[in-house]
Amino acid sequence: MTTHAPTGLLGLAALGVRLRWRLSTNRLHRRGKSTRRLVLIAASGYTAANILVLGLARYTPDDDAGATVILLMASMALGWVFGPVLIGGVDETVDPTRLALLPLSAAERYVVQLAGAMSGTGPVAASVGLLVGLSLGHIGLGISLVVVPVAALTAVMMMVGSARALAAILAIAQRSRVGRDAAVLLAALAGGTMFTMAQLARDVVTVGGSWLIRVLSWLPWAWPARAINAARIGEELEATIWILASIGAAALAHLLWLRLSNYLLLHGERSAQTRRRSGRALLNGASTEFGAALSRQWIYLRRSPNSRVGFVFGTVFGIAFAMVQIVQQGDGNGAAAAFGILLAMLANLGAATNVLGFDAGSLWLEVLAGGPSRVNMIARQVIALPNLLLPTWLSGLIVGIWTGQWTLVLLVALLAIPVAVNVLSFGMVASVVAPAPLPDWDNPFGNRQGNESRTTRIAAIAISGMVAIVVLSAPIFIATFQVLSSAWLWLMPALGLAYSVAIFMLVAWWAGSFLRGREPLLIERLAPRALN
Amino acid sequence: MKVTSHRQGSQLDRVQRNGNGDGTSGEVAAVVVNGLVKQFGDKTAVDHLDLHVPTGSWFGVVGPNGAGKTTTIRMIVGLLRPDEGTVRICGQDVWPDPTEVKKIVGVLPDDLRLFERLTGEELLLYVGLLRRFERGEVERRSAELLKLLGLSGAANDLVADYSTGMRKKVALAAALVHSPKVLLLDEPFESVDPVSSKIIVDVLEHYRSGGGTIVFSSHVMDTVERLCDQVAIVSDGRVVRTGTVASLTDASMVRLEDVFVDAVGGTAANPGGSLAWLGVG
Repeated sequence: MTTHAPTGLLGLAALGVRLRWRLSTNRLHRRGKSTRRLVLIAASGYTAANILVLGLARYTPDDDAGATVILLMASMALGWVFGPVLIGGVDETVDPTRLALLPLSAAERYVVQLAGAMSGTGPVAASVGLLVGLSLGHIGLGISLVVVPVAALTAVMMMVGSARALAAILAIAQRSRVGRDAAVLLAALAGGTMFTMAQLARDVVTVGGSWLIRVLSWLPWAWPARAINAARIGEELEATIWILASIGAAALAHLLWLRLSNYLLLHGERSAQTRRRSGRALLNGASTEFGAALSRQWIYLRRSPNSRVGFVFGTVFGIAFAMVQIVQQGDGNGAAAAFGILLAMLANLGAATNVLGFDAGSLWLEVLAGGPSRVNMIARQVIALPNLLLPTWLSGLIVGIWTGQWTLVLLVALLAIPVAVNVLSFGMVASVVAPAPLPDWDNPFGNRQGNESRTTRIAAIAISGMVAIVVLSAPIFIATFQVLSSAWLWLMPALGLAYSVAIFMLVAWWAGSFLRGREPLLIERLAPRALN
Repeated sequence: MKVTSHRQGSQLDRVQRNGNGDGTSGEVAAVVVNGLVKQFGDKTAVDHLDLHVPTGSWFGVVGPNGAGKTTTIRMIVGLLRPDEGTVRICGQDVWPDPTEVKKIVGVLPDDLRLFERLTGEELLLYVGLLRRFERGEVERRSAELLKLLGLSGAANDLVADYSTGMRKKVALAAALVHSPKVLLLDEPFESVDPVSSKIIVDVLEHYRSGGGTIVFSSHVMDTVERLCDQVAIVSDGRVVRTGTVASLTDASMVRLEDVFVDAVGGTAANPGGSLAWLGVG
């Protein structure tokens, strides 16, 4: 009896496509009809938008069309490459180790993974959008007949190759503490850049020859766009050079992905050395329940990959968010800029509004010890203060240098402390009423099941949080504006702090009562594996 | 990396074919490990480790936590490149290219990385097709394995929803679906309930009765003593005792657990008066 099927590379590619399709449909099926509809609408909308924007280039001047195609292709590539690292992906086909036990050669494994990588909803939407949009908008007579479709396909291949190579680099980096932190910082900086680009896109597009377009055009992901632009105006030599460079860059990215995947498979064990921690007071010498809870939080802020990732991301994004808002207001008003630094806290609401979600795996220990009590909650919330204050103060430093309004910046930096405590008060309510499991940021190949339903929760918390924090902080600012030119002014941060701490303690008392009896639900929601 | 030449491995195989005094003469050994070394930074996880697993045997690799059992198994099955030494399975070199050997081994690793969003049935079908089996054959084998392992009712559930025991069982099914010559299992009974353990043992015994070789790591001595006919005790990355269970336990005059504790130099600390506070009085 013949049991083996003659499966060539094409057959393996078909298996890769089927695997990706099955994983995607199973996930969507699990998440319900409305999510399925949403994904379908989003993918169709994204495809249509790309076709429209790129296709309309046929009716726009060459300079504007050139700037648009560079901006769109570069930002699409940055989103494709860095997006999964920033927002957490759910693509299980990224991880080569799941195929490690199978008798596949490096080339065969690559084919399976490539097929899987190309056939997800996002990649298909982007590929169709690029191919159709660029063909409609940029194909004319001559060399563009060849260059445009080749450039579209090359761009897709380059994005896939570099995204997977980056994921493999991050997986290798996870094996050491320094590597992990460097990877996080890199991802945070990339994310900050993408965020800034997205915020300022309108300004960039309206200024066709801006410096940003020039910078982006040198990124390899924009090289196919340069080939298209050259072909559009009949510059055959330039188009040929850029398309060849694009193909070379795409090939290099895939080669790197292949090599790194092989490295991951054959060196698949963590080699990070455990640092010996001797001669230190255990739990920083804590001797009370609150001391122990706070100390554990402080230790986790430094040692837990989840917490460190959140801190680094939050700091970079907080500064980027505040600065973008300030820049968009113009540079003529130093007072608005100084108060604008408080916006950095908004980007860090996540750190203060889901404190039970962090390190939830060991939550059962607190539950068995009678918690999480009011004391645990206070410690969990208080440790979010650095996440809120550091980006605010660093933004203040930038604004101070920029505007020279150091006195006002100092006042706002001090007032930021009671405002941050108000954020903690709101965060305490959100943390106990709507706790959410967190994705596994530690491992870029990990299952991000915790991502499910996060978007809705984040939106709801952002909106209600802004309202609550403004309402809670309004008395502090009203009182401050009343005494703006008197000697009482510098007492306001201290008075504001007393006021916000009183509210915080009141909310903590309520949170402790609220959680009592709900512990099993908490574990079921946040750490279901602990129930197994 | 210094990996010993094939010639050395072949010499060892010949010695085993010609008989080396352990009752395996004439057989090509299922697994031969020679001088295996693996270092992580300053730590030597596996230190010139030798193993000889006769074909058709049920071979236990036992040792305390951190002894190097998992690292050894990962190098044997081609998941981790050794710094030195050779590994041969059924006469084939595993390194430098483990692709061919993977066709004849089945592996149940300790860290079960599975496709969480496939159902159990889909997972087995996928693994079988990637191993180039015909779909109908894979479906038939999968159905039988799932039924035997008590997973028929959960065949259409996502792996993400499986309990630890169910994950072990579906991973075992994935390791068996291609009918391997050698099965390597890393802590297969860890976190598994007694009923599931019994099912797994029954399946493994059936596999072995068909000529298969089983190598499994564990630190549960009772299980090893009950199931295995050959054992290697590993400590600090080296084999400190090896042989048949009967020879190590002096024909059951001593327990394997005592042999193990003696071999790894372990002593149980006498609590004496230091735990005086512990109790209900």
